[in-house]
Amino acid sequence: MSTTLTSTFVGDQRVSVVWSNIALVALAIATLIVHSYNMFGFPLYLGDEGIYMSQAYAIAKMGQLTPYAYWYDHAPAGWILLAAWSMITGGFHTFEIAIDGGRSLMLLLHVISNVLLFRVVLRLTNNPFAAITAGLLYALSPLVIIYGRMVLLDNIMVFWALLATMLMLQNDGRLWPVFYSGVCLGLAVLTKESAILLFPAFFYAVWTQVAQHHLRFARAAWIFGTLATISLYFLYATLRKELLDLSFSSPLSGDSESVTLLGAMFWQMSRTGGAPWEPSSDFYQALTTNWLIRDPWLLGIGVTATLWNLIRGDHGRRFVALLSVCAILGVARGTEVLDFYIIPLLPFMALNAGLALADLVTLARAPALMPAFVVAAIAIGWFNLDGQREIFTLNLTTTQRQALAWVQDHVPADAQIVVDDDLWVNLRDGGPGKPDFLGTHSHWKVANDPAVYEDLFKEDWRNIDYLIMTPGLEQIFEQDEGKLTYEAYSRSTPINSFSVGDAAIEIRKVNHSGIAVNEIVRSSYASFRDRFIQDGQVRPVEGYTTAQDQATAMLMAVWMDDRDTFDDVWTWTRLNLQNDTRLLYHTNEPGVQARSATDADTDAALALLLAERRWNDASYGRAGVEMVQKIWEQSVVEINGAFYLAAGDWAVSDEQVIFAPATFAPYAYHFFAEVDPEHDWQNVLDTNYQLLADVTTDLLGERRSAGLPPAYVGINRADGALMPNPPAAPTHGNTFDETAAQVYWRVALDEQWHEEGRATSFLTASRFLRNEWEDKDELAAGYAHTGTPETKTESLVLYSAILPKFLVEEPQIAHELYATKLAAAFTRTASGNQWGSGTNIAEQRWAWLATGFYNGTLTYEWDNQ
Amino acid sequence: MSGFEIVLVIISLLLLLQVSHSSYLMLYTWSEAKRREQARAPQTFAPAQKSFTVLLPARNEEEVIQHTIEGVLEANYPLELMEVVVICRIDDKGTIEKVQEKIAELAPRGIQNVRLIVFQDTPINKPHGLNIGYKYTQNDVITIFDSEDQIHPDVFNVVNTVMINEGVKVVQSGVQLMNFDSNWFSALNVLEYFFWFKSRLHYHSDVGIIPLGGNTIFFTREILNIIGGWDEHCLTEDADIGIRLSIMGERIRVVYEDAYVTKEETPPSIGQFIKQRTRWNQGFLQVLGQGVYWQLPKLGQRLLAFYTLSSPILQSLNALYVPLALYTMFFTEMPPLVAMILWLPAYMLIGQYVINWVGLCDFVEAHNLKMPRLMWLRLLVSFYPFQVLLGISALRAVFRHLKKNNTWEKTKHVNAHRGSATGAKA
Repeated sequence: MSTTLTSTFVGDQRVSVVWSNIALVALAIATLIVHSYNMFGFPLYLGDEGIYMSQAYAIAKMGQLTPYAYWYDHAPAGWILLAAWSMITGGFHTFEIAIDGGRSLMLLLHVISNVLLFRVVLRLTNNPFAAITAGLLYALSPLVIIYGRMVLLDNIMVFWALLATMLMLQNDGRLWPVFYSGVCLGLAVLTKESAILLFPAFFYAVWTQVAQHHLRFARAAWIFGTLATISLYFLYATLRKELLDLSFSSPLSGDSESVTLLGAMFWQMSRTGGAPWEPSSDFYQALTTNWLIRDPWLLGIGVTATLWNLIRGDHGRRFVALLSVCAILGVARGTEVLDFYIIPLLPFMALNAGLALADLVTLARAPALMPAFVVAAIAIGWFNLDGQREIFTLNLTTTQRQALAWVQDHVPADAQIVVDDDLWVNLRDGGPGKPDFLGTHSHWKVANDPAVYEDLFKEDWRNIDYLIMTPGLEQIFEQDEGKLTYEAYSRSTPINSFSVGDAAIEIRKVNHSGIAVNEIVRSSYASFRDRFIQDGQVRPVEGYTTAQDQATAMLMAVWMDDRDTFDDVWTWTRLNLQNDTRLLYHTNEPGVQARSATDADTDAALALLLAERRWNDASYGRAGVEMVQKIWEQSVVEINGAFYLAAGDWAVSDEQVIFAPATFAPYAYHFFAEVDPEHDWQNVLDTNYQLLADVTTDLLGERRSAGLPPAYVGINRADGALMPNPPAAPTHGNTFDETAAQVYWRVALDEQWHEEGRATSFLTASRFLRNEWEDKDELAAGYAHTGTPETKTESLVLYSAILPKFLVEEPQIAHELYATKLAAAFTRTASGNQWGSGTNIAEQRWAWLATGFYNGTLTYEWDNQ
Repeated sequence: MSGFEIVLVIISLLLLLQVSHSSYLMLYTWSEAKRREQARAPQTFAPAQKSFTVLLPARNEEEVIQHTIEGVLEANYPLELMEVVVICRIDDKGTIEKVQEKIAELAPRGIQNVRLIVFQDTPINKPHGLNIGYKYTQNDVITIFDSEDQIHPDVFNVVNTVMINEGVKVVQSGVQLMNFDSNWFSALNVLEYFFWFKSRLHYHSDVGIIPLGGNTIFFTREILNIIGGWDEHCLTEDADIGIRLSIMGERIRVVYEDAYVTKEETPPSIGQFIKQRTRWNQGFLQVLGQGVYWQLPKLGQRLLAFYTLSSPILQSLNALYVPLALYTMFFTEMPPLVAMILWLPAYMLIGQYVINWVGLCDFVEAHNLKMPRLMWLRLLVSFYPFQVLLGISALRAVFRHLKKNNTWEKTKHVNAHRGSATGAKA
């Protein structure tokens, strides 16, 4: 200790104590403010932060050290502390994002660390000004603030190391502080193993800072404290029989069957980053492109001060200088260096600065210099921070919050999602009112942990549903194209993204149906039923029940094995929409002329036939057969020996039959032929397939044909000629609108069920829509027969109906369409799951039919037969 | 966790607490600079003022008693201020003969203050002898030495100075076993004494409840009169009297100076050791059973007394615990967390080994002895077996206590420690 300075305060002992305390409180408050302002917004959440929070979550909620197999990459004291903190602060949902909870612990540790720093300098110099200078250099350094905010093991380790330092320097001849110092250092090592590098400095301290009267005991106590604490880690590994394995290959490589502590240790030591003086090395890069730019002052003054204290120091000061040297060697020894590895250096830089400046002041015999240094420290801090204001103003983490909120609203809870760890906890455990995505997986594990990519995903990218890409993830995936993560990523479509400045997060859907889609089918059906069906009636939000609504509901109920609903809907339909001739009215709107709709009739009849198959009840079949026969009577018209399909009973007049491709249901006619052998349903199939091909390619009076089916076309009863744009049709006949598009769904179902070759040729005949999609990434809600778009709006029904066509024609496009237009539109609300706004029943029906098709739910055979 | 595991965890935590507290006590003197100072003897002596009565209760000590008497007389203290009394029972012909021989030999040398007192009533034990002895003497300060004790010539000066300077009425000076190399357990035995007198006793003194030692203990006559002498039905009359004095609130000064310790020897064989320990443990249990300690004024004192006196029971648990824990750890499936908790007392035992080893280094240095090669290894290997020895003695004591078998089992002395190294660092 510098004797000259003490004399300044000898007469003012009480004053210096008061000053010290004031300075300390002021420093603590300053640290608190500077660290916490905008600490949840900047910097961006790092994947590592998420890893530690997820591991803390595993301890607190899953009763194990890590969510996945623990491979001893780090000793667990750091996230054990995080888990304890989370439990103290009321769980992982006290803060909006789990990482925020961890950051609040970092704040606390940071303030305490600075207090310890202050105390150390005060003890060694007896000069409160020196102490506060050191504290200010530390608190106001951008490097300290940025990296200190992040939930990193290094920050926790620094806390323990500073505590160990303080205890050692303030032992005052007492044994137990020396012991506790050893224990704290052991805890620092158990938090992050790199703390081991501080040992040489501590050996020096144990040699010089221990009092004579208990020399051996104190040293033995320190050694025991350290070794016993560290040995707990090895004890744990031994108890789990994971200490030693004969193969030293990296546990991450997937080669060795088991994880081992020593194996992990060797792997860590083998990660090189280039000699520190090489411009290409990690160290050099980090130093010149990041650290020295953000705070050259702390580093420059700190290194100079370290040398000063090494040369001129008494034992205490030299100890602190050695700590700094050890920390510097820790970073600059040619191993891999990440940006935040600077963390352990910073407090020792500040410590040494304070000590050296105090020494300088003593040497110069100018005590007034010290307050000047305080002012200088404030000025440096101000200057630094002013140039990096984004620390306080930029809210980068909003992207992550927004992405989380969107996923919670739009992605089904069963989905298997590959994420960067920062959102892991919040996805897995959504908290009150939010879903728990138990299929959330860290991309590191999906790529590297056999228990995940092999046991869980069976090495099949199709088992992954979504990916959430945070900045930098793409490069990581691209490093190894053999990994499952890359495979899934390269076969996925972005469906949404959020960005602030340069930071962007992208949500991607994997091009495959999978678990997520299955859950959408299931949950949206349940929502549809609960919201729209009452006592068997499908009640739209506005308007009246249509026959199509009822018929589709019956089909949905059969496919979803919901017999109760089926019975309710069929009963209501029978009682309210059927006329004596046993066909369905078009709608139950009072005062409207009753008309039949062939598509509704066909679907209802098929639903009854399928119901018999599914539930082995012949009464359904009988009702179905009756209906089939009536359809023949009412909607099939013979023209010159061929049987044409009319769009409804209204579509038949003396001159013409109006054909609506949307009502052509080839998938059903095969069944009709079986149950109604009297009538020639095969002819219906053949005739109308041919007709469909004709009306699609025919000009229909326009300049050209884009190969799109029209909504309605008249057939002359006399000669079978085409009569475009029949006046009796409800809309302009030649338009390809969302109604016309429904033929694609129907024909594709025929292709799927019966492998009908004509279906395939029809679906693949025109590449018009495919090209439109490729060019514009969207389709209009209606096109003229020539291919000119008639509107700028999009239609969910159109997309739904076209999806099956693309699945047959070019699956990649189908996946894109599904991902961007259907999956993205799926929303979870308080009243249920729906597409879009959820009020348009036709949209809900058709989106369901499309998703069901995509998922393979729409079958006609079940195991109970 | 199964019920069995819960029980093991609770026992582990209790043992952890106990061993930690024990370690804390062992390190008490070294934990702060001023504590060392407090325990030291005065550097300069006051002029001889107090007169001393030296009681030498002896039974079957014909081999050593003459050396003992001679040793007392060699003290650097005016002979006219000392009276030495050997107390024997009438049927102990051998010892009586030797004593009378010695007295006869002293007469021509002009030494008149050695006497022999013989009693013939019951009980046949040390406290009874002491009570008789102190009644038939008259000097100011009464002290007791065992027959095998090798006292330091200046010990009377030390006590005289302390009693004058500090006005205390009871002084316990250090007793130290010296022969750490005799057999496999002697080092640990020596260290027991070392830590007890150098450190643990001071903790007790600071808290205010001390079980006293059986010799090198100095009482003023008036305090003995007040307290009524020793309890003749107790196997550890020293512990008992210590507690009664503590209840009175009497301050007991503990002096430990490596130089001035009274040197003793370890029991020569395991059998002897166990007998000695059994007696001590049983005595503790007796005192515990009498419940007198509950009259101590402060709760902390009562707890400490309870804890100290019940140490026999705890020691039995200790010895049983380790094999049980090892067995469950290696032969049954246990969650790692539970297994780690079971290991914690083992850590503390390792810590105790370390403390013992460091203590041995200090001891050897303080008494200018030579540390044999590989002593650390010998200490390590004998550590757990020694605990077993203590455990056996403890169990034996518990059984005897329960069967109410209170006879004295005497230990044999062979002078193994006499003739050892001379000076010691002060």
